[in-house]
Amino acid sequence: MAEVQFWRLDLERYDAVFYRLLVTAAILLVGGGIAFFALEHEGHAITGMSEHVVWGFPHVMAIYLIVAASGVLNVASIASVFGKKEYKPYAPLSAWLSLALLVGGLSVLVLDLGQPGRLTVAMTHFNFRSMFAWNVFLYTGLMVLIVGYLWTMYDRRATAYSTAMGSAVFLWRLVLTSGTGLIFGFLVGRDGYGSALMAPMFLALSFAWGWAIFLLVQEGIARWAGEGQVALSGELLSRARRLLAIFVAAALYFVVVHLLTYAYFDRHEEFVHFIVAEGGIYSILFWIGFVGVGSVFPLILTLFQGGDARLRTQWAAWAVTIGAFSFLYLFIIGGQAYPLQPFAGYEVVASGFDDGQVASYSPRWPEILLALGGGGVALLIVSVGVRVWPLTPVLREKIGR
Amino acid sequence: MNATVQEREQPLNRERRSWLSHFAALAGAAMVAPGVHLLAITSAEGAADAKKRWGMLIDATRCDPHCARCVIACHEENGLPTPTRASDVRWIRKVALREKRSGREVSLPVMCLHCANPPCRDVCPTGATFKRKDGVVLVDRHICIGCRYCVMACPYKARNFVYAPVREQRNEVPRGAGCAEGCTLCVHRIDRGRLPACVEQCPNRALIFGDLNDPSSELVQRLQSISATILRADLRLDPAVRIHGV
Amino acid sequence: MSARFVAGRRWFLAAAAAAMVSGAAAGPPRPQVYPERGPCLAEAEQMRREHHVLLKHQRRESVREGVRDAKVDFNRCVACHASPVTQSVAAASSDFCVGCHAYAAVRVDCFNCHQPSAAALMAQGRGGAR
Ligand code: HEC
Ligand code: HEC
Ligand code: HEC
Repeated sequence: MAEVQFWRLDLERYDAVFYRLLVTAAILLVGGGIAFFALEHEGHAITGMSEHVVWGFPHVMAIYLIVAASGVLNVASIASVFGKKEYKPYAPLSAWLSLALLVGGLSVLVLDLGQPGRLTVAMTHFNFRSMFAWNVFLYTGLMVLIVGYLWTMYDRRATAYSTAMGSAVFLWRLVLTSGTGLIFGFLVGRDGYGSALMAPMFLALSFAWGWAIFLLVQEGIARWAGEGQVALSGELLSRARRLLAIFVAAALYFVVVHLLTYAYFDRHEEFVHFIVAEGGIYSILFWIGFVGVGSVFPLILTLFQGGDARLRTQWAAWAVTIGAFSFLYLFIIGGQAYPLQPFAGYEVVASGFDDGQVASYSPRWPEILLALGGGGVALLIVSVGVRVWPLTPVLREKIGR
Repeated sequence: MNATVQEREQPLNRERRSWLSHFAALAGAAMVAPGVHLLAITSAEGAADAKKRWGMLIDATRCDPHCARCVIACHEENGLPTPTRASDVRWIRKVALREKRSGREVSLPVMCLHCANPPCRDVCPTGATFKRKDGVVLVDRHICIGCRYCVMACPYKARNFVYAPVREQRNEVPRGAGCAEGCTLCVHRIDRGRLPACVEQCPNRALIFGDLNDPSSELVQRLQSISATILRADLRLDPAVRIHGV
Repeated sequence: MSARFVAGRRWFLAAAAAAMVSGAAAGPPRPQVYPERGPCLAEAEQMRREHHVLLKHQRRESVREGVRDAKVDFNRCVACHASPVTQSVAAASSDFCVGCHAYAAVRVDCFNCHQPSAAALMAQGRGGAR
């Protein structure tokens, strides 16, 4: 068997790809920058967000990136915590990608704040009843842990701590993703949220979304580098694909269980009805986006044999990612668009604040550009990292020295 | 530093404050020209009184469905622009309701209910949202970062986010873009012994303001003689604003 | 905390730079004041150095404890320091709260929320000393 080594990408031959990635990232970043300065100047009034929908498209993007960031680490965890050696070569990329997604997501969250200049306030004043305050620690903590984890992968003196570090990262991110879910889980006032099931549901979703984005990035890098790069193939590829199927099925399972338990509570029956039947765009996103494209389609692609296995896996991963955005959009926006119900036993005849009505929301350019800017941050970090550091595995035999 | 801890643990708070002021006095004496530290450490007793709990009764049976004087009064008092878009703030709003069983229609204003256990305070990451000693739930907009988590958490739609930059604020009521805000029970008025603007302007006396801890107040007396509803009682937030007739 | 640290540093740097460029000239701008409206809370020298500490202390007291009509009330600064031309402390570059801060490169966001104009206060007869 050829020896696997970590290696930088072959520089001379593939520079064109690198600069194309850099230009793409730069365009996204400039767009995000323009959006940010527009928001600073004009206030959030230029976005599509309103008093009814206060968390919009930037939050969909940010939460996708953060949840996926946690899931991506599964590759590293499987290698170091669960001792599956064959995944080991992919662990550095998994950790680095996680860091990139996390930073991308957090920058969107921060730049979308009403007072982004008060970041120092957020770092010095904490209300420990707030899930957000805990998340500040969970997110920064994960970043530190990932950096430490990467160190144990590279420094021979530190490899002894690799398993311990990997376990720490693994546990930490279980808590982190539960925390992300509980941001919504603790919102008792709204019919769309407020459920302890949000924690395991987000965990399952993170496994699926992170695994999918990892497969996509890994494949992209394999193509970028061409021969000599270890693409997932053969036995490992079919195992990775089966894992994707398991994660997707688990995510679907938790969402369905969540909606069912929800429907059991009288008050929430109507909300579930809204999501699955009467919610217009939200119901479409649920059935076609999340259930169809995001779950059933990738399950079919991953569970059945035949055709080009690599290609099928790519399709499945793309579909899961589309399903992720569909889900988050219907979950975050739909949950707010559905009216609050403070007046039990009454229906609203008229209101100076659109009580009892489904709110409308359509994102405008500033929030779309801001969200894409977060993707740009992640892209930049991944591209530069992969290019300048030995994050990707290369077959020594083929590359030579 | 940590506002919430101070707010929650009053005795500690006072201890720490005095300790801090000694320190400030020493530091002041040492470094600052004499005189200035005297200003800085005067820790005057404010109008917020821990023995009180400000509250209100909204009597929907007296509310005229065609009247919106309370809403207008609020907007004038607090310098809020007339709302036209979905992104404009409404600290108070009129709603008309129909009882599903009987078909009976009522109208009433709704504002922040100043819960004893406010979910907006619980979710606020920096402690900007706080409950004053006298029960008024406020946003300290000097440390609000504009995350809107409180708007998400409020079951009554009583929290707003300021989307557009503000130029026409009244001197007494500072407010600006990028922060969360809501009904303050007109703290700047009640601290000076005046009624909230909506209460003062209601022509039908459908709004009764007072101290829930004072058995002799008109508010408590009315609450004892009628049955008041608590909105979303299932959440056990214990709002200070109660409603009659819904 | 760190913001103030940075601001302080910039103040120093700006002062040093100004001193180097113009030799002994200039120094920080002397804003127009109106002693006929009454005295400040403290000596000018102290106010110059300490006004932000006072304001930040007061805002805590007022917002959290309900202290009203305090000596350090923001609107009192506005009423007493507003320029007769703009009726404001922050409308023109020569207005009271603007010149020094520009010179010292301090970014003050107070007027995003606090009304810098004293027009309404004057109309209520609340200008000047109380
Ligand atoms: C009753 C009127 C009055 C009020 C109220 C007042 N000031 Fe003053 N202030 C003055 C006067 C007069 C001077 C000039 C004093 C001198 O030159 O000796 C002054 C000087 C100052 C200076 C120093 C300016 C310089 O010469 O460099 C600062 C800074 C200042 N005030 C800030 C404030 C702030 C902040 C407030 C509100 C907390 C405030 N003042 C309230 C009247 C007032
Ligand atoms: C004499 C010049 C001068 C005048 C007049 C003046 N300031 Fe300042 N101000 C300063 C300087 C210098 C600093 C920076 C001090 C430091 O950081 O140590 C400052 C800092 C501040 C800060 C703290 C900024 C921060 O975030 O750290 C506030 C708030 C402030 N000023 C408010 C005002 C207001 C309001 C007025 C008008 C009533 C005013 N100042 C007038 C010179 C001035
Ligand atoms: C995002 C809006 C916002 C910003 C920015 C802001 N404030 Fe305030 N400020 C408020 C509000 C709201 C109150 C509460 C008024 C009340 O309770 O009546 C207040 C109250 C105060 C008070 C006590 C009440 C009074 O009138 O004296 C002081 C002092 C004060 N602010 C100082 C400052 C200073 C200094 C700055 C700039 C460093 C600042 N504020 C920036 C919104 C703001």
